[in-house]
Amino acid sequence: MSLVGRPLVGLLAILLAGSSIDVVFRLLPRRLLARWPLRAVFGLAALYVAAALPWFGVGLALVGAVLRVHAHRRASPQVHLPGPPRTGAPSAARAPRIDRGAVRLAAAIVAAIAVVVSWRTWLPLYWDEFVWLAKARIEADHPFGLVGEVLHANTSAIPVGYPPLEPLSVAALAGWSSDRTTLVAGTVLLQIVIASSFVLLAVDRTRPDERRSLALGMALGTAPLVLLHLRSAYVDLETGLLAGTLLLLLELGLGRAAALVAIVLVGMKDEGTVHLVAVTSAVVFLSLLRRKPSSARNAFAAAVTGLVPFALWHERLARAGIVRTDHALGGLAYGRLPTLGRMAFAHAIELLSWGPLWAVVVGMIVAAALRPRAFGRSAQLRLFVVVAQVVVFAFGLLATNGRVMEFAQGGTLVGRLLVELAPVVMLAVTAAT
Amino acid sequence: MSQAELCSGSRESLVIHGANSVCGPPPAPWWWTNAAISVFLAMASAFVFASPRARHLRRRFLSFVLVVSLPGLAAALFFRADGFGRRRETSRRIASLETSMHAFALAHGCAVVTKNDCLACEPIARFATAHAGTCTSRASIELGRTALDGTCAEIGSTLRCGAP
Repeated sequence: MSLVGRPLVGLLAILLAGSSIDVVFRLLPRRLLARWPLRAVFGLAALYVAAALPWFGVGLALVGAVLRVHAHRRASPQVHLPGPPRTGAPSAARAPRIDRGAVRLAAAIVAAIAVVVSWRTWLPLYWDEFVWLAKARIEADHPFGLVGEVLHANTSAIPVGYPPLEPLSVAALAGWSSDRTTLVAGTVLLQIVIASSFVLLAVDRTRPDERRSLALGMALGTAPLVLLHLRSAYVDLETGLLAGTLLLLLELGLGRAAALVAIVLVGMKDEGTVHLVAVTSAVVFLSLLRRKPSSARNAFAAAVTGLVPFALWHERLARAGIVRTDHALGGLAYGRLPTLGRMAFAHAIELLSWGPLWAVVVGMIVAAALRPRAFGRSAQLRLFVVVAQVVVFAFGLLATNGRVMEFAQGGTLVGRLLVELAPVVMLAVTAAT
Repeated sequence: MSQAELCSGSRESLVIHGANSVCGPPPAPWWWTNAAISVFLAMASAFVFASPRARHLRRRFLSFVLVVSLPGLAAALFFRADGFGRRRETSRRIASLETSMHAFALAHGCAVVTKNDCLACEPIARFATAHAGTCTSRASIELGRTALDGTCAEIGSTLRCGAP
């Protein structure tokens, strides 16, 4: 009973919180296929601010209420659902009802994701799975106690100072049961929620006649190593999927939903902030260049909404006297660049882990640099976001202390960063084919 | 222990390196082969995506190059210690070690690892003995080199796992 019942209660609680936010602030249009998994993501945002940054949550709710009243007085915002298919069939944006074929497709996608994710050993197997689930176990034993624990100087919840949302989410989705198998069930639910949000939103954003391209992009991006991460408690793929979800929401013009996803992104992992900066700055830059001020505004608002909890969390760490060693910033060490470049190359050509993914991506970027007009606007934006992610990550790696280079040399860094890039790469490939 | 042991199915390498790559860095001759294939694929992709005449080939090209993923998929699904045929034995051993340590820690309120000769056991012990606050119990866990085989014995307030 515990294996099914507790996670079900946890999922319903998260969905209830997220649905309340959606209903009160009217964040998502009804016909969005990704509505339900996105509501669960909003529930995770609520969990994070409730557990770690309650005053930020109160402030955000007030700002949301003001925006809601303001929006009520004006015409409802436009949602940029995909235009008509090239065959000339009716537009999804104008369609009065949800396309039944799309609903069947969505159900099949979620079922497929659920099968792949849950078809794993119901036991942590890899190093960081144990580490993340150890924190989740502490949270499960002491509901809403993990944040206090990680802000404690002599904590056993190590490594110290990491954003706590992943273990909080796993414990909540496990119904706060500290049983090993139930915690894995929490992990499985979290992966299903985040992966479904991303994939269904990608379907929402894709014209029916482009779904073959989407399937190809997904197949290419689901490289063997990505598949292993999908079936694990690692946070790298989740972070990348959330970055992809953020990009898709910004493309769809759903700025306030994007802002909530930004909170989840920075709450999951430090790298989430890197993705947030890369995605939003790329969108702001290209939107201004294309004279689309509303898109730039949405991206800027999402960046600010994500960066405030990031800053507040670090302020809490500083006040608690927690010294972060893993990702501490220092000066830019340009001397690392050749070593990092060699490592990135060695990982990217590892065909057993990646298949042809990175070779194709490099080829696409070269082609886009040589002939930008060979790509549509969406493909240009997505490729630009991929490049922005790589550049911001490179600066991040040059600016962090020597500990990060130890991780890189131990083989635990570059491959995982590539896993984080894979979801946006899937979107770029989809738009380019 | 090297990452390449991942695909020979070692439990230790699975725990330590299992999520970093499918089989670890390839040995030298294969490294050069991989590099050559990747450079060729990158050039072919650049041509297919840049050339207006080859635009209609993009989907076919991607469908074709997906074949390169198949050996990695086979390695991930069959050759590693978490692949079909091996994962039951792997999980039985790891679960046995984790269960012994967790039950011991629960029985004593908490427990700390005082001796560890098994690198791969470190995260398992961290998960099994996860607790809030500082552990003041005298209960200790000693992990020998072969602790990952999953056999533990309780001696007084000490849990000894594996041969020293």
